Amino acid sequence: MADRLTQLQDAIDQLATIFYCALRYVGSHHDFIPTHNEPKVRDETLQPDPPHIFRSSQQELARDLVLKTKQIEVLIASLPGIGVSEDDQKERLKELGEELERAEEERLRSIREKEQLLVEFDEVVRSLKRV
Amino acid sequence: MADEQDNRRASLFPAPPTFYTHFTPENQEKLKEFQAAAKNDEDENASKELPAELVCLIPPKPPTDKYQSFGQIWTLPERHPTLQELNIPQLFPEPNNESYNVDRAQELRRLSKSLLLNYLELVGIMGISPEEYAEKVYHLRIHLINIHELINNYRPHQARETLISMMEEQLEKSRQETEDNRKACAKVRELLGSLSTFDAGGLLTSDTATSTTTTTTTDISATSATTATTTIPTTASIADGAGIWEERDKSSWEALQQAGL
Repeated sequence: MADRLTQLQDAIDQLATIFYCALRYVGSHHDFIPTHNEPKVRDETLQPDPPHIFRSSQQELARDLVLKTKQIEVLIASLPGIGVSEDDQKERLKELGEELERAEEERLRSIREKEQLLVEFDEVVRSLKRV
Repeated sequence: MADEQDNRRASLFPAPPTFYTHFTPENQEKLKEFQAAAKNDEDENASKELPAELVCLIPPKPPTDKYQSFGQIWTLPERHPTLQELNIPQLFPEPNNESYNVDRAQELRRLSKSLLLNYLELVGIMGISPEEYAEKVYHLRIHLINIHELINNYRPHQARETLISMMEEQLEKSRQETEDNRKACAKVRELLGSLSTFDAGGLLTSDTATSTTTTTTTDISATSATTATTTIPTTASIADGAGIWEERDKSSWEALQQAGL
């Protein structure tokens, strides 16, 4: 999974693509309405969609737009470390580093203890064999 | 000509530079001779006298200001160019150290709303006078660039945040392992403790000295040491009376199996 910032960036890019698609669709699939008694204008390069399809496509595009915007808002709200300043982070990192060192020491000590016990146990088992 | 060169630099898999054919063993030999000669003559301008095919063999000086790579210009030291440097108006305030991160999310939200509004305006303009699109498109562009800039500025912050969470994870893991090790140790000690009392009860009754020590020890860490010492007298007595010990051996093994060991 990509991190939040990349997700946000991708979402923004997708939003821009939707911007373009929506305008492009409306521009290339609209029908003409004659004014007064003039004949209806025709454009050979245009392929007008039937009204109900045009309408539903418009609604779909609008829904996409709103959805994407909402998604962006959610992503912004869930950005990591909001309300934490750089100094806080550095402080926390330092703290964690020290804690890690301590924990590592403890871990090594416990491993040594385990190994020591293993040796002792080994001796006991061997003594049983000899008996 | 210049165009062609630019194209070559910008292509993803550029053709090798034209002078690569000069890199032959003969030319390298020649260059060495030339340099040796230049040293002898103490001539500073030796490179000027070099024939054209040898000039390329001397590597150029490393760049100090900026350089071009795959059609992109890189600055030295490497850094992200600011919006001002790119001649793009900056739509968010300069960071002040105190509440920068809170501001950043707020600014992002503001910019995304503004972006949508600009688009709405663009759609309106397209409906009324489509030829005036340019200004709004420019605004949209500025907004998008600003949003991306903000996000990219945010990255170091996120990197630190990720590092923190990774360290927390590692700490948790390390502590868990310590805990597990301790538990295992306690279990083994318990086992050793029960074993030593068992030893004292059924196996080593003949040796009074060891039996008293093993029964009296309550300190867990000491028990293993005493069980280790018990081996010495038993091995010594094996030589004395092997027959008795064999019998005991058998019975002790049965007892051990009953104890589930």
